[in-house]
Amino acid sequence: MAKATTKIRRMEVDPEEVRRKELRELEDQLIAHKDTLNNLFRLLDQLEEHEVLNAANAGLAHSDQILTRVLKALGETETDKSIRNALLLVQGLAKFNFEDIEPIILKVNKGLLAKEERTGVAGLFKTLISPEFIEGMNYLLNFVKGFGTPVDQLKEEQGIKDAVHTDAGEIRKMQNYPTSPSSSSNGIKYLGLAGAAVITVGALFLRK
Amino acid sequence: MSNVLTSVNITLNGQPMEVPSKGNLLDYLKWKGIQVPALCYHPDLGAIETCDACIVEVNGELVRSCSTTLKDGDVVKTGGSEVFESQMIAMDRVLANHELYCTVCDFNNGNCTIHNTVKELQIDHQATAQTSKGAPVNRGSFYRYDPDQCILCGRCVEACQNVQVNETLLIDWTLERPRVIWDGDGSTLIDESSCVNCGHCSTVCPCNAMMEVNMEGEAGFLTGMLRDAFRPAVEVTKSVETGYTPLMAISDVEAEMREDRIKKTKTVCTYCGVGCSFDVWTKGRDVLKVEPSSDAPANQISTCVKGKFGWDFVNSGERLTKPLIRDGNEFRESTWEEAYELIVRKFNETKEKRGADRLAFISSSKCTNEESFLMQKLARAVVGTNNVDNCSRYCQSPATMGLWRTVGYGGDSGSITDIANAELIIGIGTNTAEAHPVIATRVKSAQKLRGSKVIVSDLRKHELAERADLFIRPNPSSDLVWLNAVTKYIIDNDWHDKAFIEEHVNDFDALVKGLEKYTLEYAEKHTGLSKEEMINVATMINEAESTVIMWAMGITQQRGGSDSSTAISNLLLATGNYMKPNAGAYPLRGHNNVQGASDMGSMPDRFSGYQFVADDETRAKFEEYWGTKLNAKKGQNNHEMVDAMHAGELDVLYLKGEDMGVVDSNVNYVREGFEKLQFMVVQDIFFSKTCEYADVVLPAAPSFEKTGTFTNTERRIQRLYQVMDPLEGTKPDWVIIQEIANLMGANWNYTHPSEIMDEVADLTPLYAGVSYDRLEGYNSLQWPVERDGKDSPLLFTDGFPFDDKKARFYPVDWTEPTEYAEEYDIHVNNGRLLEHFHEGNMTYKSEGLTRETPEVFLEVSHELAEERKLRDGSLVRLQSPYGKVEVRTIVTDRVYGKEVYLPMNDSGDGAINLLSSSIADKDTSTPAYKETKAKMVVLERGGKSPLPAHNFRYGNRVPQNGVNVEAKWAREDYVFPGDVVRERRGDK
Repeated sequence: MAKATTKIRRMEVDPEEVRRKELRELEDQLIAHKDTLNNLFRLLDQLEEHEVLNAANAGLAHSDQILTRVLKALGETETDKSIRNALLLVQGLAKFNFEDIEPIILKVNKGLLAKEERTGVAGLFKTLISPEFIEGMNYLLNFVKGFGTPVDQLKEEQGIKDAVHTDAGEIRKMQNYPTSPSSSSNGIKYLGLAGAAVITVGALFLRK
Repeated sequence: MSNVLTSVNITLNGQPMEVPSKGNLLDYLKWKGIQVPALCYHPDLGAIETCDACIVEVNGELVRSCSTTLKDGDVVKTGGSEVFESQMIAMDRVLANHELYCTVCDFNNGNCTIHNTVKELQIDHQATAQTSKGAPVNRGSFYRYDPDQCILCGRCVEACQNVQVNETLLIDWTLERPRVIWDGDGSTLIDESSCVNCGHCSTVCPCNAMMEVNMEGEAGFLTGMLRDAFRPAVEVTKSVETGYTPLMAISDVEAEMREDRIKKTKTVCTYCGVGCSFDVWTKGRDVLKVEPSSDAPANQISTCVKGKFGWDFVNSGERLTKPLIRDGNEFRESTWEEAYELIVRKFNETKEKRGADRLAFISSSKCTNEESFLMQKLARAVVGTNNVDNCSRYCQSPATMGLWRTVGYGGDSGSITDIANAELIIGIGTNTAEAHPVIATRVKSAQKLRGSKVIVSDLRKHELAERADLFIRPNPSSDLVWLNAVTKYIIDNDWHDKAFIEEHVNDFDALVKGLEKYTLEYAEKHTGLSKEEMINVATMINEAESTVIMWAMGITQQRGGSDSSTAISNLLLATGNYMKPNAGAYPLRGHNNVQGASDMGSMPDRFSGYQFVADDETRAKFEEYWGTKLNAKKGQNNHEMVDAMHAGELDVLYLKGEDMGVVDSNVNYVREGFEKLQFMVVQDIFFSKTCEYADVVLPAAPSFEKTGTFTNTERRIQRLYQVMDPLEGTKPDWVIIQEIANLMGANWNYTHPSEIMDEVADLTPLYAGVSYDRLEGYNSLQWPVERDGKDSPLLFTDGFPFDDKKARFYPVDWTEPTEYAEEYDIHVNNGRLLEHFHEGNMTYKSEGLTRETPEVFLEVSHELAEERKLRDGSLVRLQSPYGKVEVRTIVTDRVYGKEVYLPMNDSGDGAINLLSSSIADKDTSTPAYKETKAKMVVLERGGKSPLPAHNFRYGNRVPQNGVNVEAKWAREDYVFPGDVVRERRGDK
């Protein structure tokens, strides 16, 4: 004859027993990971000695505010642009083959180290017909001719692929559409041109 | 089928080839491994044509491949500068609407369509910068919409308008910067709209525009950290980035890291009988989201609000975590050992001293097949009684009876896809849009997109009734009369399928004789329907190539529930609507595993697979397998158990996963029965009303915390995998049952539910070929399943499961509804609500669901409101001969005259079963819940409305065909990218 009841007497928990059980579990964990923990404690000691832990605690406690300030400062001080340029520079540097650039550097060094010699017309003429001068002039003429080569041809010759970018196609701009790619991507195009120029110069100097 | 096989010859990128003519070009290209960008396209939604990214060249024209079908001689080019330029224009428009901050985006989980497309196309820069649409984030209880991330692909709108067909979302193409809006009648906010929170929109969104709120700040490693710093972080990232490639790489790494902490587990929904399956994303015990997909056999991308968002109960602080033992007039927490010792002692004592039939067992449709199988095995093989039943007794037994009588199998004739493809869909006594929401989506879309006709017969003008081509409102419990009259009218007009009947059905003459009195005049008198309405029904059935009839509790919960179900089957047999696709009988099973609970033999007269206990050969098979002698005497069903409690003939009840003290009819009588038991064990996840009467309460684990299988309304068997460990202190039901059985000496050794299913397969012809291997992942089987694994999506292909393979007409006569004294003048209709499930033990634990619908309410008609001076919020008492409820009213045009509607979602003063009687279906003992009448006393005329103003029922739907892309194309600022390219090149 059980009457309905909602009264529930919770099991009495012996806090000491719970504590003993938890301590035992912790003890088991400590023994199982003894070596790892020793290494960890050593690392923590060093971090503590260098105030790293205090700094990290403070930083994490106010991470959102700190991050907001740092990120805003990046924008306000144009540091973000510096980072972007640095990244672009890094990408540009990747296009250099430094082994092939070595002869160019040697030649520039040679030019810089050459003794300054004063000479007359005869001396100049002599210089003009010297093999070094002729070779140097050929070098520079090629360099100039290289500048005159169409960029698309250079890209094709050197296997350079443009970054893919979308193409604006809004109706209000339709009247102004050039037959070549959109003017709105000029920045990117100039960037590409600059990169191509760097590569071209490099390529000219590669000739030994 | 001929369409599928038809092919055409085309030239693709210079190569001649033969390709299927069915389907679109984009699908074919993807199948061929040719990558074409596509953002708005979704295989479950079809061509939406908003993003323009999938442009290719066909016969020299630039066209969207998603909406292109091929014909002989077509020349297709997927590359070339014009195609590429067009695609880039489309991508630019997309990216101008979406800010790429992938690494700090909660959607960066490897499945972002935008991210993946940008990566595949190696896009490094966009020409047009993303700009804000100038509208704030639109936030609902369960999901939110960020217009500034929305690419206007319209997938969400397409899903809402054409799949779910709730018709709430639309893109306002008239705005300077279009965006998704809700309802469009002023507010446009999620929270003030007709949105039912089914989650289709967030499921199909290709990016983070429409996202589940539980994902916010949880999915990413950085997304939870960045609060105030979020915007500055995005700005700095954009400033320093030199292109998208590094951004993609970093965010891909972060997405990979997420795999370590976000677990994705396939499971099957634990609410209604549709059997939706999906992946659950969890972080520890936190549920981040539910993700259905095309792989889900019953639901594909569809869910309802409960399946998508109703899982808070799993981590509710109210979960039981320790066994409880009654100690006088209170419970005390105990150990499992102590609870088991007491249970086993009481079970054994009762069995030895008073006999095994003094014990009874009730299984649960919430539990797995394996658990129901073990429950009946415990009852039969360990205790020795057939007193075992399950909650299908409260709902579905009459439907099963009607089908057993006529066609031999008690199951849906086909699959949900057959309902979706039928020419005529009839719903009788089923509030499908709220009780089986995902099936309702298929009905609504069949009507909206494919022109299927819908007939609804119901007392109440629910959503499907509102949408029906023909809505009829017969008098309560008079369905058999009009069903018989329609059948007779069809036969009288020689519209019946004579060839089908001749070849496949017996007893036609008996049917004709049985129908004699059911003239239209007779039916008109007793149903309140007009002759024209019935002739319309008959004519529509006659004109349709295929008809399905769905029915539910409006039919079964009557005194003549089995007979009415039989009349439905007779009608379908007479019109030849069996043994073919897109036709047949669809009793819509109410719970996730109500089909499986009965399939597994938790019934008083049948073993698993409906094999009779009384059959000597069958019993001998089970005896040999289980190694024990079995009781041949039919046991008690739920209903009989309660009577036996009152008669002092039942001492012990072991009940799991069922709040019988709320959901059984006439609960005052049931609760008094509980009080008379000697010993009662209740196994549940919460301390339910029924627990209050128990002697021992055992804390069980819900579906997320266990493995097993469920069988849905389509007879589809699906696996659920364990999403998370059982909450500390709880155990899965199969483990508990096995431990009790073994303490009683059973010596069971199941180490995994798959071993239980192997035993089921060995003993049960219906499940002969079922194994966990065959159900791996999203694989499923529809019974009967042969030993070699061949299953039966269409139930009747080679005749019917009788000796001569012929079905049988089973003439049935009308049982008039229960008579009440004149003072009980209010007919109390009752049933489900979309937002809550039954007594609400699970759904009221969800803050969002409770916010949507905080309490039960009584729907009253305008006529009754005027007569009794009622308004929204009035407090009334309904008094029946069996009890009373007190509840606040809502005045609505969904109900008529003196018919009111009381949802079943309350376990307190508003519980419907305080009013219902113990009168039951004469053939199955299923309570006649739908024959409840009461008198009304107004307690308070004023008061606060029980239904908040933000409830979806007050919204205003805006039906349109999908996303209405034509409106986008008509905008002055829109030109098809292909035309832009051609104009640039001077072709126009």
